[in-house]
Amino acid sequence: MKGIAGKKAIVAGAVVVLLAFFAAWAFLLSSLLGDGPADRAQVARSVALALETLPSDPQSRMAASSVRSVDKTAAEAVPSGTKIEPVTESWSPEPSGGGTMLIDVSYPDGERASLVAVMVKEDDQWKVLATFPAETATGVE
Amino acid sequence: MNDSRHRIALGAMMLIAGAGAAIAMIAAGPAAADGCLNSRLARAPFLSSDLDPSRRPVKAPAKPRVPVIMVHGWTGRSTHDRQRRGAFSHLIDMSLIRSNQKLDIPRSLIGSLQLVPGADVYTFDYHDASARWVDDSRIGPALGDAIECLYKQSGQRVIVVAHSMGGLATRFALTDGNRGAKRAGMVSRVVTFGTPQNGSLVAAIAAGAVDAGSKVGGTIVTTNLLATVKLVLSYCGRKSDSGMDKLDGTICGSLGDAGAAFDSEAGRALRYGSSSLRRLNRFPELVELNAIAGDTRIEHNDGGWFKAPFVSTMKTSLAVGDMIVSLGSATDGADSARTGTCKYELNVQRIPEDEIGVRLGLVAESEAARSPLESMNGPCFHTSLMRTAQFTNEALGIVNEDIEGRGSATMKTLMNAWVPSACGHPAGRLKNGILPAIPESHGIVGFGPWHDDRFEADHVAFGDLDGDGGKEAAAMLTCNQGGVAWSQVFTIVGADGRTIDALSLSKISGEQGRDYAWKVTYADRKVHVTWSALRDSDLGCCSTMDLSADFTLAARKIKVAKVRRYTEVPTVQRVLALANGRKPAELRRLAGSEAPAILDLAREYGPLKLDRCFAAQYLEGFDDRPPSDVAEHFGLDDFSDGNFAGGRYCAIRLARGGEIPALLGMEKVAFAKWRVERLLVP
Repeated sequence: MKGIAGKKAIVAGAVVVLLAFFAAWAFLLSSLLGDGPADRAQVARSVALALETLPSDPQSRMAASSVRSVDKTAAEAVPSGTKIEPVTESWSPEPSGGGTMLIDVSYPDGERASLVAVMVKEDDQWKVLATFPAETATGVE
Repeated sequence: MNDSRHRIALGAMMLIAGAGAAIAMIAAGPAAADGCLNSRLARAPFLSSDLDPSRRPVKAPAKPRVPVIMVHGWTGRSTHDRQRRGAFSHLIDMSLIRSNQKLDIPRSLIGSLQLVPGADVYTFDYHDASARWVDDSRIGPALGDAIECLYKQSGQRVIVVAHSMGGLATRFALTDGNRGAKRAGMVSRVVTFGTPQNGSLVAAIAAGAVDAGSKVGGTIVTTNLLATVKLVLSYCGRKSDSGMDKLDGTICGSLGDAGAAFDSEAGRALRYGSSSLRRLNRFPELVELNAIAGDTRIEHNDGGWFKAPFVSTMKTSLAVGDMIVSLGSATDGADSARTGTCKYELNVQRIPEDEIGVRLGLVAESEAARSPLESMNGPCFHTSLMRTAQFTNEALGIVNEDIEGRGSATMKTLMNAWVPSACGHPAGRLKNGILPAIPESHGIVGFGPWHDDRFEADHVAFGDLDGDGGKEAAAMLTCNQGGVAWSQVFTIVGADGRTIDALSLSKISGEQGRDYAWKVTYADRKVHVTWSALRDSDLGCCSTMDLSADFTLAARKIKVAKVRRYTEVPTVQRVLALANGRKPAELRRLAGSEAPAILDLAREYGPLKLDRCFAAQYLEGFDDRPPSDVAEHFGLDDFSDGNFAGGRYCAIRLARGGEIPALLGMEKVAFAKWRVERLLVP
């Protein structure tokens, strides 16, 4: 009987070790791939912060290629006093490292807009490549 | 476009008329190639839900003989089963004309191909390796083996129908080293659906390898285009979180797991300008490439940067090909291209759960289809091309035309044949009997009366040389580099317009390379050719050597037998025998007015005996010289008798009465037919 109990203990121990190994492996893999839910939420917060603070210095948040694509300056496109409220939960990353996020924009002249901001990372900073107006819709999904 | 219309008509005919009324079968080839089947290559089963035009299940044709291999694309599959998940298995239910209406064609592309008389449809599936690049042993090399085996077993050149990366796998199989080059002759054509010949712009954007302002495949990537693709990528990526299966067969199904898939070996290789793509050789000239491609145009009116709209030049519609592969990439290097345009308006929507919705609204008359992107599988989209009637009709027409063309070659086939390199000109395809793109003063290559007025009467014959029941054309290809003619090339052309084998006549005669045919005739699986060759000392006007030979075809190679040479010598010997035998009547037929003098010569000095013959125009530098005593006696050192140029003199030794021989002047009057034109005595 003692022999059988000892064997059970060894098997149980082995299972625990194995589970611990798999848990560690999964954590490591998740960290390496960097697209786990925690990581995604963290990125979303960074993007949201960049968007929130954009009105204080729009030029610094304008993607390089966008400068040539519009005929207004960043300051004209986002006048002083503009308020941007990002919808952090709407963050959708795309494979190259960029992504999209919904934002609610209030301009100083009273105009309000719901936009989708296409975000890219330049020089390790989140910048806005383009915005598209997001119509309010129901029953789409 | 006429070709295209013709093919559509053929395809439509196939769809409507059904197998029974379709083109008559040609003689059956060898038995089906079951010995080639393995875990990747399967004969496509006949699905009971694939119905023919009379709405009965598609059945195996009586004599399938031409292998048609279906090769899927990146991350796809080819397997044809009831689940219809294969790239070519979905019912043909879309149309470019009325995109929001489902068509009532109750069969798939594979089912439709199974209706084409003579087609023997196979699927090649590398799904388990499709994240790998085409040089993986399970993809390109394995496809090459399948092509080789099916060709050898069936005796017929294979047709490949490929989607997306399947076309690149085929390109690899047909160009990889010597073996690939040999395989090129085993494939008649490749029909591609959205194959990224130059790579995929979307794959490059997904990889962050393209910025706005980059020039990609001749297109400048605008911020608008870049932002739109990124928007779509991120939207589809989010939808893929909820499970890929639901997205199968939609545009998001292709892009959904983009983060993972585009970072696979194949995903990296598919990027525009990738080193893997640069290493891949272009399709061989021998293989006809027919490209089918979607041309999706997307517009959205309000894109910009907050209150700054995009400048007007960036607002124009974005050409995104089939959403995965640009139009230019999908049609690059193709011999023919069939494209279809679908216009959409992109709308971004905020849905109640604070998520982003993306809808594409079709811009077309009386149609207002508006679908969220993840359910979008429009007729021009990468994954839908094989479900769209106009595209599948094109493919069916091409395949049908190819197989039908394997029956018998005709004069029309010859006038548009692919011919080999000849007279220093590159190989190419004739147009109306002439190889185009040769500058006017640089010569010609071709078949036909425009340079050869005896072509139809004497220089072409049709007959079954390979024993497949259809007729090949055996014809003389005429070519030169401008100026004097070069040797004609004996060419055998198949019913599909491709040269099976070719051989310059001068390779047989070994003469100076200006051989010209008299007559080409066919009988009993042999072609008999008579021709003339210029000997070294012959003037360009007048050949003095005639030849004949039998040509056969074995293992698609020309074999030459019974080569015979005809000169003036037998006629001279006959003349001398008649003179020595005192037979004036017969002698007159060969010697005309000189017969009495020859008889007198024989009576007085005979018997007469031939020494040797030489060119009448004795020109410095040729070996074909007269005997020195003859030259001296008749003053032939600088002899150039304008009245007898092109003839031959034969020195006749006299048994009695002198050391100096007489000369018989011989003139050729027809193929291998000579007569005495003059007699010169000492």
